[in-house]
Parts: sequence; structure tokens; C-alpha cells
Amino acid sequence: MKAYFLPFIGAFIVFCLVFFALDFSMMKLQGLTLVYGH
Amino acid sequence: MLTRNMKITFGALMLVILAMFMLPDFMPAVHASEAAATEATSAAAPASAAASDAAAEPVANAITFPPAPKLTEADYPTIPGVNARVMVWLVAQLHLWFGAFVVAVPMFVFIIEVIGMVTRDERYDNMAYEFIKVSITAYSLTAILGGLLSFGLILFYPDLFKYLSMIFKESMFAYALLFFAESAVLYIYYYGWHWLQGGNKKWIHLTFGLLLNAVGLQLMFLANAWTTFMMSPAAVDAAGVFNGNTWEAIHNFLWNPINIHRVVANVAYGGSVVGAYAAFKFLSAQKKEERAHYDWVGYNANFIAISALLPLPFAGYYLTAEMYAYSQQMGITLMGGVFAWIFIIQAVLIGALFLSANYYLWCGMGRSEGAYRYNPRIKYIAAVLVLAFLVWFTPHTLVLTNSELKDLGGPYHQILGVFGIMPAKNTAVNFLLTFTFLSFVFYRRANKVATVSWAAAGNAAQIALFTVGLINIVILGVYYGYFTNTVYKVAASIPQVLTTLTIIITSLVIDSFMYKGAKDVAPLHWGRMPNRSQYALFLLAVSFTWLMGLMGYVRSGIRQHWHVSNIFRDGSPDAFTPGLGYAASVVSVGTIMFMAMVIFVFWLSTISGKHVVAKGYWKEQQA
Repeated sequence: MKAYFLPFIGAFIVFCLVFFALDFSMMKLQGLTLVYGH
Repeated sequence: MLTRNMKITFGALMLVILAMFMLPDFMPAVHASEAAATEATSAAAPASAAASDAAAEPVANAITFPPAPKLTEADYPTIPGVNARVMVWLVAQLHLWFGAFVVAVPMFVFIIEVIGMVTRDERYDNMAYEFIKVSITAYSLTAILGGLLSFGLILFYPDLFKYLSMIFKESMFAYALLFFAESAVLYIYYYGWHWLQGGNKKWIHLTFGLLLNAVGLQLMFLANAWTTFMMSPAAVDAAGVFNGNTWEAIHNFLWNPINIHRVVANVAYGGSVVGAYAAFKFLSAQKKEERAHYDWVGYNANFIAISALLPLPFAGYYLTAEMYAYSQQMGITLMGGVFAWIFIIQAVLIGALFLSANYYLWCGMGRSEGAYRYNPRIKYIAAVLVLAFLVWFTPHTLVLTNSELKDLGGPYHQILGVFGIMPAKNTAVNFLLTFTFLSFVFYRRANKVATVSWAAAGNAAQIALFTVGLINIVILGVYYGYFTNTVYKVAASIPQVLTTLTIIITSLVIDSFMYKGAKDVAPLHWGRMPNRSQYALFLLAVSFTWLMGLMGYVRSGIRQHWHVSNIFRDGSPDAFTPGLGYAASVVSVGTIMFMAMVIFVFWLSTISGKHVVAKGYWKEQQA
């Protein structure tokens, strides 16, 4: 279980950061913010 | 002898390449656009003496072009018993189907030949040769249909053809001449296949394959320009007067979006048609080895079709976005107006495509002894695919009577209506793609046992990748789709696409490291496939053909009553948008006609391999 659990948590955090960065940069490239501002 | 032959071949090849580089210098279009550019710069800087010297020869202004004609019904010739619009529609669509096939085959045959050269596995070379053999007859049919289309346009739409050929005369002439290059290269590539084998000769053969691709794509790009000019005209003023700049007319707004879309789509389509060929040969195989061979060919064809299918929705979305950017009216007619329901039919066909391709992969897992480890998970993939499919084809505006409208409280379903707009569909298609990729991952892994020490961690990382990626896709779709404005809604589709691509690429990279030095469970049992899996391959080809026909109609139909949008009005008696049922029927008839011709092509490949010894028919030869 431990063989899966810790790598899963680590990878989960890493990929959260990766996709956050991806979303932020793609929206910024289109002149928009990540959070919708009215 | 060998060296002499190599020298001759190499010399001929150099001549061909040199000729292709020099050809543009003989094309007046290049000089016309250069002269027009010089004219423009000299007009902008009249103070410069050098510039005014250049302006002394206004080559482009010497030719004056007439405006687009204003036509009436009397200007369109008729032949009794022939519906001109339907005839041109069907012939153009048949030509495009075959054209797509013959542009696509050299693309993946080239890649398969390279794989054969790298792995030195002759099966790949033989498969590549077999694919080209199938496409040879298709080339003739493409040309016949192209000729028929040209006749149809000249006979039934002479003024339109005259107007377009006035603008595109150089590219049309080049198009005709390019067929010499295409035929020459194709025949050398095909007939020389078993002659140009081994060592440097194989590289020479591969170069001919590359040239074939270059010429084929060039032909398609030229024809694409004429089509997109009719939708998004350039180099003409409001009255349709051409300014003489052929490159500007070719390089119109929608040219590159359609080039990209057609290149990707053709590969996916070509893969599905050769997959149908493999399925046909599998089902008619008499020997076990033949069955095994065509099972393997079918797998490769399905792989090509799915690989190109993955980026295809985005190429289509990009084309549509560019249509909206060019003309909001055209864009809204396309997806928010009268043609919207054709997109729902397309959604059903694409969903069928995905289900069929996945089903083939799941059946394929039966080839492996190790598939039992992954089989229990297939039902979850199937459930997700079906759910995504349901969202994918849920319409937005419903076709309702007045009383139904009143009962429903509006044109949209109160609960399901939210799934009718693009953010829901983008989310659904990204799920379809990700889970199709997952089916492929399971298929690849079914026959392997990882031997690396970190296999458990690698699996955990991949599960995390998929989980986070899919959550990201949902958040992007739901938040930007329903809680922001249109600009954010459309913009969010880009990170959604890239999330799917990131999942696919990262997973492939992790898997390639994880399965380095992996043990095979057992040799794959090629041929151990149920017959129904081959019908999945047939469904792939038919679905693709059908939806290409629908989309071809839509692309042409959004011009509505224009031959050339906003420039040249269609004055023919058939200048109306037909009912969706009628349009779908015409496309269906076309699909049946195409399938009949394709079956003819497949049958030809069967009879060409037969050699009957007719005893007693021929005279005995004197020794």
C-alpha cells in the first residue's frame, strides 16, 4: 500500500502544480486572468 | 552494373528536385505578386527616386479584371433529367473522399516504410507496399471524379468557373501540370518498390515517397485555396474585381485552417479505409497465416486512425474558430443556426467512431495471455465513454412545436440544456480522447510485465496524472463554461486540449521508461480475434465517410446564396439551403456510392493476386 500511496500523493501534488501552471500561462497568453474578473 | 544504376537513379532524382525548385521561376504568378508588391511600396514612398523608377513598369495594373458577374437563372445551363446542384455536390464529395484517401496513404506509408527500415522488420515493408497497391486504383478514381467535377462545373456553372479561373488561372494550370509529377513519382515509388531494395537504394525509394507526399500535399493545398476563396475571398474588392495578386487570393483567411484540418483528417480517414481493407481480407482469409497477417495490418491501420483522430477535434475547432473570426454571421449559421443539427448528427457519428475504435482495442486484448489483468477495468472505460458520448451529442436548441415550446418553458431543456453548449462538449471530447488513450495503454500493457524496481511508483504516478488531468478538464469546462463570459469560455478550450495532450505525452514517456526491458507474457496470438471486431473496423470507415460528407455539405452550405461570400451571388434555381433531411439523404446516397466503389477497389486487389492455369486453352509451345 505504502509503495503506491506516497508516490501517488507526491505525483498528485506535482501534477496539480503542472496543470495550474499550464492553465495560468494559457489564459495569460490569451490576455485573460485565471480567475474571472467582471 | 549496380553502381551505374545508382548513378542514373541519383542523377534523375537530382534533376527532378532541381526542376521542382526552378518551376516557380516559370510561373507568372510569382512575378505578378512581386510586381504588385513593388507597386505597393513605390506608392507608399513616392519621394524615393529608386522607387519611382520601379513604378515606371506597373505590370499588375496593365491587366484590368472585371467585377463578379450578376447572374440570373437563365445564365445556368441545364440538361434535362440532371439536377445540376446534386450532381456537382455528389461528384465533388466523391472526389474529396477519394482524394483524401490518396493524399493520406503516402503519408502513413512513408512512416511505415521508415519503421521497417529502422526495425529491419520486413512485415512493415510488405504492409506499406500493400497499402500503396490498394491506393493505385483509388488514384484513377480520384482523377476520373476530378475530371467529372471539372466538366460539371464548366457545364452547369460556366460563369462561376470563368470567374474563378480568371483569378486562379496560374494555380489551376500548375495543378494540372503537377499531375505529371505526381504520376511519375507514384509509379516509380510503386513499380520500383521491389527493385529499390536494400542499402542506398532503399533511401532513394524513401525519397520518392517523400516527393510523392510533397506533390500530393501541394495539389491539395492548391485546391483548398479555391474552396476557401469562395468562403473567405481575398485580393478582390466589394464588386469582385481582382487586384492581380494571386498569392493573396490563395493565402486567404481560411486557407491554412483548412489545410491543417484536412491534413490531419485525411490521415485518420486513410487509416480507417485501409483498416476496412484489412478487415475485408481478414474475413475472407482461407489460411491461418493470412488471418494473422491481416489481423496485424488491421491493428496498425486502427492505430494510425486513432493517432490522427486524437488531435482532430482541435483542428476542427480551430477551423471553426477562424470561421467565426472571419465572419460572425458565417460562424453562427454554422453552429448556432440552421446547420447546428447537422453537428448533432456529426456528434453521433464521432461517438460511434470512438466506441468502435475502443471496442476494436478491447477485442484486441484477447490476443494476449496477460490481458486478464486489465479486462475487469474495461467496463469502467466503457461507462465513461458512453456518458461522454451522451453529453457530446446532447443538443441545445430543440426542434419543437409551439405547444411543446410552451410545455417546456422555452427552446432548451431545463436540466439537459446545459450540456448543449460547447464547454460541455469540449469537456466530453477530452474525456473521450483520454479514455480512448487509456484503452490503448491497457492494450499495450496487456502483454508485458514490467521488470523495473519502481513499477509500483510509476503506476501510482500515472494514476495521479490521469486523476489530476481529468479534474482539471472538468474544472476548466464547468467554471469557465458556466460562471464566466464568452471570451473566457472559448479561451478555456486551449488549456483543456493541452491538458489532454499533457496526459497522453507524459503517460507515454513514463510507460516507455517503465517497460524498458519488460518481459512479454507470451507471443501475441495474431489472428485470435472475433469476426465482430472486423465489423468495428467497417463501422470506422463508414462513419468517417458519412461524417466527412455531412461536414463537406456544411462547409459548402454556409455560403448559402453566395458563390463567393458577399462578392458573387448565386443566381441558380438551386440557390437555396435544402431541408436537413434532404441534405442528409444526399450525403447518405453519396456514402453508399463511395462504399460501392471502395468495395470494387478491394475486390480488384483480390483478383489481381489470382493466377488461373487454363488447361487445354493455350496451344502447346514448340520447345
